[in-house]
Formats: sequence, C-alpha cells, structure tokens
Amino acid sequence: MVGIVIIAHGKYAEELIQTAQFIVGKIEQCVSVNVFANDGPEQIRKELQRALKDVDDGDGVLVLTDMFGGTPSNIALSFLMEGKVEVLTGSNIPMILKLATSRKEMPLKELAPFIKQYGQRNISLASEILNQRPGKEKK
Amino acid sequence: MSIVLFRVDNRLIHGQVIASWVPQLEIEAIVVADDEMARDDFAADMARLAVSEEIDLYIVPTTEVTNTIEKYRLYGKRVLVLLRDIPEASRALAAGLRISTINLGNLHFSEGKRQISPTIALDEHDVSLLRRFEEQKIEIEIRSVPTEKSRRALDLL
Repeated sequence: MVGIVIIAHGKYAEELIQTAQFIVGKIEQCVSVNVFANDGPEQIRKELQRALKDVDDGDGVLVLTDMFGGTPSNIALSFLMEGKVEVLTGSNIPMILKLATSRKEMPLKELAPFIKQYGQRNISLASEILNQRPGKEKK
Repeated sequence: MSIVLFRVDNRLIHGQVIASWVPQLEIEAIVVADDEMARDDFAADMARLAVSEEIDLYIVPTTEVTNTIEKYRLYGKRVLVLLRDIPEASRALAAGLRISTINLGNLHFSEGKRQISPTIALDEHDVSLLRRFEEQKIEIEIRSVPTEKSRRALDLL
C-alpha cells in the first residue's frame, strides 16, 4: 500500500495527521515532518529521507506538502521519482481522509492524480452551495 | 539603482520571498546569483514554476549578476537579487554590483557558526565580510519579511 509523508511549515503536518486520525482512526504507514524557521535544508532533507524509508513497503510514497515554492515542497521535489515518490502540494484535510480510506485499492500512479482532484473538488464556498439547492428561488 | 532588495538567504526562492517580499516590494524581476543553482536544471525549473509568470526570473552564476542586469536592461525595473550566503554575496559585490543595503534572511546553523538571532547564524569569516561591507557604507539588516522590524546585524554579535 502506498505510504504517506506529510511535510509542511511549522507543525502543520503533524496537526493534519492528528486531526485526520481523530476523524478516521489510526492511519498506518503515515508520518509527518515539521519544518521550522531555523531548520537547515540538509537537516530537513535527512529527516524526509528517513520518513520516506519508514513508510515505504515497496509500493511507493505520496508526499503531501503545504505550498508549492515553499521550502518543504522544494526539498520534497528533489525526491521525486516516477512510480516511487510523488509530491502533492496544497494539502488539506479532505485529501488526507480520502487518502486514508482509498489507498489500499490504488497504485501510486493512479492514487496521486485522484487525490489531487479530490482535494480540489472539496473546496467549497458555502453561499454557492446554498444557492444551488433545488427549488431555491433567487432573492 | 533599481535593485530594490539584495537578499542573502540559504533557501533562495521560497515562501517568504514569493509570498511576502515580491508582492510587497512590487518586484518585477528576480536575479538568483548562484553557481550551484545555475548548474541545477531541475531546481531552476522548479523555481520558475514557483514564481508567477509576470516576473522575469534569471538564474545565473554568482559573478554574472552585473552582466545579467546589463544584458537584459533590468535598470528601471524593480529587481530582487538573491544570494545563498555571505561569501557568495561578497563575490557578487566584487563583480561590480553597487548596493546600499544587504538584507539577511535565513542563514542556518552549521558547525562553526554562532546563532545570533532566530534565523541568522554566522561564522568568523561571515563576520569579517560583514564588517568590510559596513566599511564600504553598506547597511546590513536582519529582516525575514518586510513587515518585521529591521535590525542592524552587527549589533547582535
């Protein structure tokens, strides 16, 4: 099964996993890497390398980051390897929940774009949803 | 001089630069003066993707910074020059660049360096270069993001 590493600024990664686990229970083969302001790139790289090793059972790893162009993403990108390590930026809770429940069925190559789409589709503006309810009249 | 910001940052192009400095200073062109990044096609590609399309991005060897500014007529544009560390900054300045302030962003701790602020660690060589810059009437400020208060680096030694 595809492994999961979340790497982001501050404690975002750690908190994302904690919150997701609060909702769906323990998520196996899933670790976080926190990146703080005074961490050097070499140190971050080593931590990420260790994290990848910890969660990879041969089926590859999906690395989730907070923001393209940020240091966690930049360092994650250097590990990019087709079929083995993919990097998905702008991660959110819906993505992680979906990931936890759907990765048993899918290989990394399918899983990554699927989760990307899912994360994007699950960003909603409340008033847009309300205005789309059937039978609702526009005021 | 149109160099609006001359910044020394181990992380070169990253969140603080893209999301804070560039928009707040209305940067129109970025010159990364760094031998290592100039050789690394992958890193250069990623940097180009991270920077929005309207901003011209040049990733060149450290001492090519002045030639780059001249060649692409960047005078008259608001330019950000990025350097990886203080020795590289010194090489860029020795190549003929004239600036009034050096901004120190992120200089991470490693063996032999002393942490003088949460984001800045310096060794003896760094300090002697900084003192030399100050003698040349260049201000050395520590400021991670534009809204932070500027501090004179050598005050913190």
